Amino acid sequence: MKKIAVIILSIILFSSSLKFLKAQTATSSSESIREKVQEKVTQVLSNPKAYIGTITDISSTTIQVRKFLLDSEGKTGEILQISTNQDTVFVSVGKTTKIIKMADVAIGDFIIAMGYKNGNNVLNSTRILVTEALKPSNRIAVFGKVTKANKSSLEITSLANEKLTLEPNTSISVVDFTDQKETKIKFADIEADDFLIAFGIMNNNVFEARKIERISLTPSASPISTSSPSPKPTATPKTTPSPTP
Amino acid sequence: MSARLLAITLMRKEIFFAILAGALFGLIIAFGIWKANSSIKTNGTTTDNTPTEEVTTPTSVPQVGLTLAKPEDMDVVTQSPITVSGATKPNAWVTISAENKDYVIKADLNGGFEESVDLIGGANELVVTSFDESGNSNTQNLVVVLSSEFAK
Repeated sequence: MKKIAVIILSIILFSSSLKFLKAQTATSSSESIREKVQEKVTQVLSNPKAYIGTITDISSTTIQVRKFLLDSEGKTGEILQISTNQDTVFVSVGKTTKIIKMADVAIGDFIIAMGYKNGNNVLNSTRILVTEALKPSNRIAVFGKVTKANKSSLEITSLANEKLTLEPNTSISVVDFTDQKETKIKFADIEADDFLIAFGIMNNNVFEARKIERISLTPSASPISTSSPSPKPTATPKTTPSPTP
Repeated sequence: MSARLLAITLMRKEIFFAILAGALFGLIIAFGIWKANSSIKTNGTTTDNTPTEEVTTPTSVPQVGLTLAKPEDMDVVTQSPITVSGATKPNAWVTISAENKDYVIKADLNGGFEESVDLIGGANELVVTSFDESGNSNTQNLVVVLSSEFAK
């Protein structure tokens, strides 16, 4: 009978120690998760953010905007809350850039509010730009093989077998990238069977390219960077203000 | 004779209880292992809950994975250029179209990429696209605001 009691006691002790160990592991694991979450929250809160959109409502210390969307097809932007205080700087950006008062801001104005988000996703703004409404640039990049080439246009067939007519805009930049070197070439140098990456906008089913990069499909082990400025960008501001607003 | 019989009977009882205790102990261990396994499955592989039929539902165009590490949409930066980095398919071509410049980079063997990108003052739309050699692509658009005055 004693032996049975000893066996049962051993089992109980063994189970208890297992439970204790499990609880200890769970505690250390949850502490680690809590630390990581705290770290992420701190990081997010210390990262300045911008709320961009059209003002839908305004009060003495808060502004409500409908978020600007790059892809607004069939969608409306969510409502975002911005708080202001006596230190918030309001700047009107147009032909001339000037400091304005909050009273000069009205419903319907397009603003870029900069500041730090709090835990409720309200932006505590420190600087608000009142500017013209942004428009999506509609810039895209295409990748394909040249199937027809002549001096004024190219027909590109994507590897998904979609055909595209590509025409250069007046300020096009054409480069060849071979052996990790970028060389300027002429549009007319591009031939059938070349592989291209082109940047531009679609206009009436014609791709107006502002940059064409002729590439080789040979795989490479290390990151290869190629960049060159497009002399005249499409749909971009005329000057870069200094300092920036 | 009767004493011997009694001894055998007692010994049998002890053996019986020992077997019973062993079985109970074994059951507890088996239950513990089963519980641990089911707990790991619940925490670690919940994404596998979807039936296979749903997973294999065809999408129109296959996409290349593209995750941007930096910057995030609606970030405010005070200096240009900025670093655009992320991960995609190994050896994929990554294009970054900024307001004034276009960039082409090739992801490394792990799919990582990084490029220094010039911004203009104010709002900048960045169009980041990844292409693999089969023609599949994935695009992410984001807005980054450059304001040197913000830091003051």
